[in-house]
Amino acid sequence: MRSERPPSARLPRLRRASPVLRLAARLAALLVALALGMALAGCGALGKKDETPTPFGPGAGVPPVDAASTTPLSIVALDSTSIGTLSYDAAYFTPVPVPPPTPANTQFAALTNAAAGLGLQFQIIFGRPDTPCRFQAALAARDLGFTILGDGDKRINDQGLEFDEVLLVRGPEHWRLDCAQLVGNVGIEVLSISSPTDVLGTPQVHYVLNSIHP
Amino acid sequence: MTGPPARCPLVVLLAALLPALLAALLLLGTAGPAGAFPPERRRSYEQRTPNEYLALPAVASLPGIGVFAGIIASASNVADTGVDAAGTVAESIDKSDISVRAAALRDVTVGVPHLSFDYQYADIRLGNLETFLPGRNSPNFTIPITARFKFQLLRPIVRFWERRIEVSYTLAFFKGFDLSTSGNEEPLRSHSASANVLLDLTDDVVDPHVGTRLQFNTTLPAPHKSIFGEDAGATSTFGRNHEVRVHNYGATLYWPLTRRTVLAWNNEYFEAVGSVPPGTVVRGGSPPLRGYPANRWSDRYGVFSGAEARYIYPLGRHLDILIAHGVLEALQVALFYEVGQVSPDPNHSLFDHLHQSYGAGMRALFEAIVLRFDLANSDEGVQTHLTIGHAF
Repeated sequence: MRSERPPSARLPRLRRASPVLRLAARLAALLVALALGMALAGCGALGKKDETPTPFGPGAGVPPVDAASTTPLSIVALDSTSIGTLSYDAAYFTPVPVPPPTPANTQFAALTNAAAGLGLQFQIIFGRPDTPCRFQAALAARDLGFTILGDGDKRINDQGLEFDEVLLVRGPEHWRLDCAQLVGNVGIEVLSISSPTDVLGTPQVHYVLNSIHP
Repeated sequence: MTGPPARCPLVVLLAALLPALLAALLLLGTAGPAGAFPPERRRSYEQRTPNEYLALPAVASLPGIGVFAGIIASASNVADTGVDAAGTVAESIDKSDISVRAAALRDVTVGVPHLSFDYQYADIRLGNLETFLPGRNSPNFTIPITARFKFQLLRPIVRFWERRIEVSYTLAFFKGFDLSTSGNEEPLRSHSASANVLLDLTDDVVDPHVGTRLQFNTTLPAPHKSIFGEDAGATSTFGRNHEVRVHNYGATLYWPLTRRTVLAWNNEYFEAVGSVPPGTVVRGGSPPLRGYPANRWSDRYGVFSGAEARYIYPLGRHLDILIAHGVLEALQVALFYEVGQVSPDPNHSLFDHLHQSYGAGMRALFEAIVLRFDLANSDEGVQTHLTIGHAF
């Protein structure tokens, strides 16, 4: 049978040590509690939004994509190697000639539909895709007077490729930035521009975004 | 290339009044209750108790960075050599990718009177550091980066007159990456250099109760090669522009409101001097507003004013436990309010729509070590700070 020590046998020792220990314990507990409180109160920005990507979907409106006129376009890195492909409706979009990409200007292709007031620009990006996407959006907001709609979204295309997306508006001008990582450290940024009518959700634009793959 | 914009009359007037303001601060701050000029030191920094240390396990959540656990450690007058040491080790405890290894030595002497050296080393990985564009009109829209970098700093310091006069030169080396004009990551290895002059007419180096501090800091041309390494990579536009020199002026007044309450009032002004291409946003400096993420507001010119009331609860308890050894001299409860603004031009816009920050904090004073916890609020949310040393 276990023998119980009477309370009086241990309490005095605790009391002797208590002033310093209690003070230290209170201080440590206060700091840890404050820090944990901050974490639990959501002061950190992590987890503030749902990171589940939303599919682009087929798009909405007319005209439908003409399957007979879809055309592939190679995604070319700065060293001229192909790192992926995309497709577009050649009956709707007209390619715009652009100079070969350089480290200072990584745009490698552009498409336009002048009648619809729609243009797509394709650039090579490096590093994590959300950095240049949000960087470009912040630049447009700071220097060009655009308003950023929302706080950015995660999207996914029909090929399973994840994109970071930011929407911007300035009067009748509508911009959409979609960025994805393709091979290693290299990825693609698609800048979709529409004015004066917002036609960024048309099937032709979504067809291009859904077609991108490494 | 464009030089600094023309100054408006208001700023010229303020610049002219600045010496008068500083003189008033000097007289107000140094007169003190006893009227001594300058205030006598309450204690000698050189004779601080050897081997006092604090090693605080901490869990912290930093906005835009993550939740992490680690140890913040600081020791003063190690082995009675006069050297102070500090270190931080932290790892993420959530899905964020955080690793921090930092160490610092202060007051390392080499046998030359008045001369000592500081050294700092940091190896940091912040998997999801949220940054902001520089510029007065920077949107409240974060730019996430994977911050992996190493940092070293060497600072020779000359001090006189019980540390009331201090002149230092800082050479720092950064090895990591920066963002190009397109927002793409580019490797970067870069030196930076600066000089600092401090006039400390207060009653204590660590925790002043009365007096004035005046400080001037300027960036300097840095070598491209040193014992730390060699520069590589393009000059970035996201980080500092190396074509300009940043001057930072600071004045802080410490005034005892009551026997246990001290008011600290800090004022800063910075300017980036030099020619830059038209339209370039210069990250000259950033007002240290505690209610915003670090470097939230930065531009070519900036002002900051912060007031902090510190209520002192004296303890004088000797601690000799695992995480602390030394005398816990006092606890402090602080309330603070700060304003600041940045601008590409040195005109009235520096004082328009001032950003405001306010909050409360606690400090534990272990003789030469101040452990500070602040909770600050602004129109963009709440920030927490757990660190060593007063804000000013």
